[in-house]
Amino acid sequence: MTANFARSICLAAYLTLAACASAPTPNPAPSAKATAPAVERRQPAPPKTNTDATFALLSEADTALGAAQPKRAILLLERAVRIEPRNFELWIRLSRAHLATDNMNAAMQHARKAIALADVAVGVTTATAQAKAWLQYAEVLEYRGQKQEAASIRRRYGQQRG
Amino acid sequence: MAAQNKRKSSNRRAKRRPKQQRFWPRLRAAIWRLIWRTLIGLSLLTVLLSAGYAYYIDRTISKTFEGRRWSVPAQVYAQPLELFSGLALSKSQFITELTRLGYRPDLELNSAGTYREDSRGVTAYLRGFRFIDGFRPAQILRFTFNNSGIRQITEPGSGEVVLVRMDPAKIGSFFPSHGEDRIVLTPEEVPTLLAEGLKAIEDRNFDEHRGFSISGILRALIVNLRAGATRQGGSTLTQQLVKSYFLTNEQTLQRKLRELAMAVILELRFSKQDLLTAYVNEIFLGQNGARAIHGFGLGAQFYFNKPLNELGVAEVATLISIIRGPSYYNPFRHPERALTRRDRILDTFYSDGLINAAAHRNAKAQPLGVVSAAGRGGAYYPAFMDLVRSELSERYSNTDLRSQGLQIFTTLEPRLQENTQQAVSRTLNAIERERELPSNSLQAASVVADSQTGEVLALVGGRQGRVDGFNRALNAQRSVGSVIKPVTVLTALNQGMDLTDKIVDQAVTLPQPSGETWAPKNFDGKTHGAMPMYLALSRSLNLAMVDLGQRVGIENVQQQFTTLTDRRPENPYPSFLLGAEAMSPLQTLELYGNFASGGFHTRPKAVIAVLDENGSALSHHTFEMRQSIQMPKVAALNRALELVMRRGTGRTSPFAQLGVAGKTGTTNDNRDSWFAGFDNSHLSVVWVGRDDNQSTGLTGSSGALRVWNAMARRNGVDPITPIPSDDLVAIEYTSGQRATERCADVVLLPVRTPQSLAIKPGCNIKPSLKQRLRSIFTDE
Repeated sequence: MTANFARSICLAAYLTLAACASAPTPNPAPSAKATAPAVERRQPAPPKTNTDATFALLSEADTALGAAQPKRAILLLERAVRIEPRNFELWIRLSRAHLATDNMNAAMQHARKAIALADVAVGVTTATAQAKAWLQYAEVLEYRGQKQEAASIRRRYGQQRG
Repeated sequence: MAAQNKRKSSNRRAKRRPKQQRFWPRLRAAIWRLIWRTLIGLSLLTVLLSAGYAYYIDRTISKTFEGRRWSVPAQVYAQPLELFSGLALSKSQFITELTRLGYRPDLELNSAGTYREDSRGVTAYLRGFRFIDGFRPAQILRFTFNNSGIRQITEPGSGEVVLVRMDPAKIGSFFPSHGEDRIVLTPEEVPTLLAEGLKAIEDRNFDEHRGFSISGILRALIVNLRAGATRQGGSTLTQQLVKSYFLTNEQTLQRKLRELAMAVILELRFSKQDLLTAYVNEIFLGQNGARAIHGFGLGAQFYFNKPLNELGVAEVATLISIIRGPSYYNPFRHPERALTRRDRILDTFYSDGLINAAAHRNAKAQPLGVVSAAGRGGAYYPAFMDLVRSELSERYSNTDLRSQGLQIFTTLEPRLQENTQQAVSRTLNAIERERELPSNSLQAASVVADSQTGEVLALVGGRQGRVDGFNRALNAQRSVGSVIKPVTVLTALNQGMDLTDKIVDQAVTLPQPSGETWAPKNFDGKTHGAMPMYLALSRSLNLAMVDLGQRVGIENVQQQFTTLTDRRPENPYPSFLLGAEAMSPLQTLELYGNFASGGFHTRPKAVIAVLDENGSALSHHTFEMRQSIQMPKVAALNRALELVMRRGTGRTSPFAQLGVAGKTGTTNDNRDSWFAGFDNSHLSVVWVGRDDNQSTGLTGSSGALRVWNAMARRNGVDPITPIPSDDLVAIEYTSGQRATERCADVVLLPVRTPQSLAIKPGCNIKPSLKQRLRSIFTDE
């Protein structure tokens, strides 16, 4: 009886509140930082020490791309990826180089790979990394004639580019 | 009258006598004529037959010889080691790498292929090499080290070098069209000392004779008669070559005559230099398991782990000494015998003026110098080469493969390959010992790939790595068991379910098309009721997975499998959900590549590029991938697979808590033990079982996972960087309820609708309106 009475009171109170405001949002999902148990907390990945090496290859690839040698650029970038496979920048450049060889499919897939890796980028904010990767994706879409989608992505990420 | 009759009679005899006298000579003449005609006929026939046979031999051996002589085989290379400041490679590891590549210590750094070690670092004279993207000339570089690896690389007189590639290990040399293993040298590549030394020891009259040497045969006969045993062969180099190319070892007159005829024809057809080069490339120099070591190029690698042109005088003499009896003079098994013969050969070199007194003295003072079994043959990986051959035949045209002097660049990492092979062999030995299983009853296969690119870095086809034979990594088709379960979980995630959604682990009986019923069971024979999906995966519960499979639809699970592997499952029935699907370890690697790469399908790849003899790329296999799983789904699945390691069937691994993801698999009657797992860098698949498909008594954890542990111990672990997610919720592991780490044993999982989750009592989490209402009306 008491329980039923309490339920009625509660129901009435909540209905009243609901009428004058939107339903209270549930507790926000706890963020990883707030509630991560000790075992799940990890140190960020150790800083990569191969940056200079991959940067050297990246620069050389850029030069090759500038000299209209996209195939050479691909060779250099794939070499860099073997050293640092999770570097999203390298995948962006690979997408660009494939675009230069008219290999649409590879350009598209490598841009997607860059987007996936931008989430776990090291040494740059996720937002910046995401923007760079998405803008490359937009580049590929535009090349394929999907101009509206490309423009939409550019509107969304154009300001965030680092 | 009587006298008259007698006279008549004697007249008749007189008339008859001349006739008789004519008959016998005529008969004799006829017989002779017959004999002559027969002889002439036979002679003509013999001439014709001989000419035909000679023509046949000529055509056969010339064709074969031409083909072999002019076929420059493809050279197959492993991935080169990239060196840069900051690379985690200690000085001793660097020296091991140099040794693996056949670099030798030399204080003077007199030639490429040498290095000098001092207290602070290593100076190495790198060999020049033509890579896919250009030539790197030979250069002297200085490497210094600190506690974390390479500190700095400098070029004396020039300054710091940011990045440099070692020359890659040559891991094979074969004719791609028929797969034969050789290191073939051109006439210009045959060292003079070897050419002249061979003549001095094996065939003094080589430059004069026409295929056989009467004086040589007589000399050998005298020596052997004196010794009372066969001490010396009378065969010329040409005859030895013929024997090696075309004939068996049978000791018959017929074979000897054929050998002689063939030798003469070869001599008529080809120059002395061609014949000597063919001999250098062909002669048998030993056996390494099932692999025959033919030719001095391969012999130099096998016995001394360096190219022929880097051999010293003593080493050349040792190789020549082996020809006479590769088993009898085997320098590994009979070093004293080999040393004595080598010294005799060095004496001959000196007496013939091939080397001077100082070189003679120095060479004799040297030990045999053959490289121990562990280090040698480091460049022989038959299982990986099978994958290379298969990929070449699939992706390259026959015309391309028939081209001469191809250079094939592959993805193999020799250090990883060696480590993986050792891990497989030693773990199987240990398991057999501990469980008192018959020796060598277990078999295994393992494949390791780069988790992002799908490039195959190591491939082990059986417990004995250097032995050609059945390649289980590519060809063993075995049921994969629970290793397939993530496919069902992914199908559910793609249909909008959460990892925390409840599924039911209860007994189930399903009718089969055959009329029988299928009643799967859990490994422990029990049922566990309702539980969250991630927990069912973590504990690998069969009944819960069948329940999930039926909910999402087996045809959808199979469609998901096809999306992930580009192949249709063989088994259309619900038992597919529990891994009643035969796959090879390589195919399993392809499946898990989707998860390890963060949602991209790649075909495992072994060949990076093939260059023709001019260094132009016939083809370059760029990275090929297709996004197969959306990011949030693969992020969720990978967290579940991490839980399998941290909390579930993988928890016994000493690396389970470091941030690795994976899944064990065990098939009926413990016939197959599987593990597929990955970290940030590597994806690995291990299978352990028996070739006769009998029970091993091993589960995925007690068999394949142990092998993986041994691999991780050697190769290291690069912890997974989890994909960030905005919807991570702390969940009590055993119940699937929302909780905090202060009140429960929690794990973080992405949940799209956390408000739908039950809250663990006492955790002080404010329930949502919906939850409060629900609790009011349902007495929760």
